[in-house]
Amino acid sequence: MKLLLTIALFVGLGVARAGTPASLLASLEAEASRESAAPVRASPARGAAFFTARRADWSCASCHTADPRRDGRHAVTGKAILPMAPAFNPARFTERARTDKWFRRNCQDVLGRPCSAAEQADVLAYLLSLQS
Amino acid sequence: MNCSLSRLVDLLVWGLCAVFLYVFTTHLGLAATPAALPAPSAAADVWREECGSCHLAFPARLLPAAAWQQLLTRLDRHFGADAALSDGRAAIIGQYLQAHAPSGAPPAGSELPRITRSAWFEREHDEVPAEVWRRPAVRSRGNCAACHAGAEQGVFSERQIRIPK
Ligand code: HEC
Ligand code: HEC
Ligand code: HEC
Repeated sequence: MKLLLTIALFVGLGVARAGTPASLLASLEAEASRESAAPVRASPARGAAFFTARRADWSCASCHTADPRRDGRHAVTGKAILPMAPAFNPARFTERARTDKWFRRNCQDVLGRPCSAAEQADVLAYLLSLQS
Repeated sequence: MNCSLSRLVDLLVWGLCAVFLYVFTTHLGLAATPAALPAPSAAADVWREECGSCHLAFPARLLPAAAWQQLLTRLDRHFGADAALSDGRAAIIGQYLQAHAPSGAPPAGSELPRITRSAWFEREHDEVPAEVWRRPAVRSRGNCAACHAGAEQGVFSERQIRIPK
């Protein structure tokens, strides 16, 4: 029994590290809940509004398009960017360090500040809601 | 007897778990970054991944070493974008680029050195009409791949040029 638990624990840990978009969403919601000291549920609708809201120069959609099931294009350099919705690009949101890096950079570029865990959770919930 | 057997099995499982964890963390790059500079090919992978996400990973020979150095010390304010790196990755890329770059003075004319401000760039492209640079499929002079089909492989020869409509 103890053995089984140990194995289960480590397998579980391994899966969490490999990362799926769903496990990332769960941990972002948990983080947001801790930050606001109340349970936070991500909202695809809020995420969609956030994604397309234009700030000073850009929105997230400026580079990732308003239809994240499709290829995007960097607004300045013109380089192609693969789709953001995990259903259309399975590599998305599978590596926490990579995802964190781009949230940090792109939120800074678009909003001039970091995105909160709640905002990140909303964006991810929106992208996960795009199935076909 | 029974007890020592179960201890043995316990030990075995912990050992397996340790191996498992090690493989996972190293595979995902979560383990401590090695102090030594990676082999050239590993450094090239870091460069391609980090410098090739927003635009073409511009090959080292397109700018002098001093220009790469200027760019790498200001990645937090990189042509209006935040391209900052952590974990000593900027240093790895810096050494890789400097090792493969020519010497000479960085091109002037902009706050950060641009390939597209180099004398050779102006010379090679002086016959490209201004209207072509503004086409939506080109968008920027730095979008080499729009016209140079081999740009991702570092090939810019005249034989592989196709100007988009
Ligand atoms: C100026 C262009 C640009 C804008 C604006 C932009 N992004 Fe990005 N984004 C990129 C590029 C380039 C990448 C990296 C290339 C890739 O992953 O295909 C990226 C990648 C990402 C990733 C990584 C996903 C993963 O795990 O693979 C996330 C998350 C992200 N962007 C979120 C956002 C959000 C949220 C906004 C709006 C606040 C935004 N981006 C606005 C260019 C942009
Ligand atoms: C977050 C996005 C991003 C990342 C990451 C990034 N860059 Fe850039 N880079 C840009 C933008 C935006 C420009 C301006 C493009 C333009 O004006 O056409 C640019 C321009 C450049 C130019 C000048 C091109 C010209 O016009 O001649 C060089 C050189 C350059 N980057 C090198 C690098 C190097 C080296 C790295 C990796 C350490 C890197 N970049 C990573 C966004 C990025
Ligand atoms: C709008 C299209 C376009 C873009 C964008 C462009 N080039 Fe070119 N490039 C050309 C054309 C056309 C020529 C050939 C001029 C000629 O035939 O004399 C050329 C010539 C060259 C040459 C000389 C090739 C030879 O064999 O003599 C080099 C090197 C080069 N380009 C590098 C670059 C780099 C690096 C970039 C991006 C930073 C870039 N180019 C962006 C169109 C472009």
